[in-house]
Amino acid sequence: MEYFLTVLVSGIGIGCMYGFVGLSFASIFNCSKVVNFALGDLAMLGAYGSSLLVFSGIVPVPIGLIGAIALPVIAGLMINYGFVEPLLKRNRPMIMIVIGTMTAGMIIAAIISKITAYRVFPTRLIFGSSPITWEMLRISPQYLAIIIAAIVISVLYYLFLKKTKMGLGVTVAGLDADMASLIGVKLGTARLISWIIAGIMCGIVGFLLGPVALPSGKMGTDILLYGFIAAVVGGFGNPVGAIIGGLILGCLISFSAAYISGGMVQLIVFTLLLIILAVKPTGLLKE
Amino acid sequence: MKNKIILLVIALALVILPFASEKVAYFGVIAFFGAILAVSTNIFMGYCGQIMFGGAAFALIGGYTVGLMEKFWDVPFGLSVLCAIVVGAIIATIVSFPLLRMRGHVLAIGTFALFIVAYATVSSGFTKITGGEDGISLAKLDMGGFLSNDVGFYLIMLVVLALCLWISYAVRNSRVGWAMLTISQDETAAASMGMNVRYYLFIGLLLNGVMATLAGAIYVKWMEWVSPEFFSITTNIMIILSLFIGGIGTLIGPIIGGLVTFLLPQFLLAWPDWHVLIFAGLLTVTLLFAPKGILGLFSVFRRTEK
Repeated sequence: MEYFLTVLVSGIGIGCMYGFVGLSFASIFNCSKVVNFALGDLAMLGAYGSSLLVFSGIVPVPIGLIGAIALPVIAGLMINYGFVEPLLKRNRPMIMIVIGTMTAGMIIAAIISKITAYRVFPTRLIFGSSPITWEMLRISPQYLAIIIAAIVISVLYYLFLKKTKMGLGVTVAGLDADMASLIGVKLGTARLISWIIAGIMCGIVGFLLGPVALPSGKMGTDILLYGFIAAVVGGFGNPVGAIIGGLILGCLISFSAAYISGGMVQLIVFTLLLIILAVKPTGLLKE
Repeated sequence: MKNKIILLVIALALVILPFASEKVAYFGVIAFFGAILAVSTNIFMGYCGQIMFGGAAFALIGGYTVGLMEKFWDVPFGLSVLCAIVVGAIIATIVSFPLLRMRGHVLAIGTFALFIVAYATVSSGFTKITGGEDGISLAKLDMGGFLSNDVGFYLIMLVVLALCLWISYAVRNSRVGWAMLTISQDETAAASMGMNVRYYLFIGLLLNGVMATLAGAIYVKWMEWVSPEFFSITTNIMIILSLFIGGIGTLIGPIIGGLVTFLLPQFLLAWPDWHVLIFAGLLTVTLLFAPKGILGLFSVFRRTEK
């Protein structure tokens, strides 16, 4: 039972992380119908930001967090203005825009690999490494931080979309672009905001993930892949679905690693994914 | 008539070229491998307008069919290639049931899942049978003594590439090709006109699978080794890149793209990070200024070509 709970909690922790990435997919997709394949590399930037700034002891944690968020936001804006907006302006088919964002991600990963020369940086767990024990449950504080952050960010994102004028504008821009511009929503600004939100989320994911997974130029691919799966399983573009999809995915990974074997994780997860998508091609919740 | 002469000259040049230098033959095999993969994926992705992020999965299936048959039953190469084609067709048929229910980004992750399942099966899932990361080593193919290994495989790959190109051409100019084009433009309209959408997409997927399987089967025999490494995520991404660099949906474009994409890393082995940046630059330029690929750039100057 103890073991089961520990596995469950770590599954939820991993799941929240991927749900987070799924959420940032949804943020951009809901505004401009663009699937952003550079998100994984943005999160990687966040992880590097945190590991370089905080864990090498240059700056205190809060400033490091700001740095870890600022890096992906800036990179996201550069992708938006360098790749996505020019492609949208030229009316390219959606698949080309997706490939465009993938290209941007490749560039980021290559530059980071070049700069860091595949060195591994020292990391330190921000909240200490001793697990928090409660009854018979042992939780790593890092996972706890991830879960809390996921809840807080989801609520904030929901409030932003439903309660602020800016958030409503972003939502409307995604529902019907022509209609939105008629009622005075600036489409370019709406897209810009959705990119900033996605950048902030990726920064937080990277900041929290950095100490758990050693940052490397290649980590973006995994984050992207699993985040994308979380988004698709939950129903693409559905923020609640992204979190639920992430939780399902996280628990699947965690349980198959704990109870079957580490080598079979990918095989199991992706076979199940194919089956889930075959049964419900639109994802578990509606798009 | 003029076109036929040009084609004949190109074909002759391609046949004679490897005899000039072994290096040409060596790089030629790699380039043709990439070109076949690009041509195969182009049928499902370019003609049918769907998304295929798992092209390397079929090549892997072909490679491992040849590898496993030689390892366990010592089957001769010709027979195992035929078996690989059959296995590729069967697997394409099986996966068509889940995959063809998906569209758009769901299909993107579905085809990628297919790739990961295939890759994980051989690299970490059933390592006792497949040899895991180490792979399976194969015997050298007997060329009958008068051709060197590289030149022989160059010619085999060239013939297979020509065959795939011919199939691609025949499909494009047939009823099936027109149906695929209609589906890629507007699936709902195609279905409401009474077209059997699933049937045409299935043909696209089947051709994609069989061609890629064939390429993989021959490639591993040339390498005399099967390893998951040959069919990694990188290969997968390179197939997609070659389609967009060469011009997706065109006949010749994928070949050009495949040649460029698969040869470039070979020439830049000493600078591993740079070829990614060069790819990215090439891709950015083609996406922004030449949506029909490198070939499309030339048709800007030649107005007659449509």
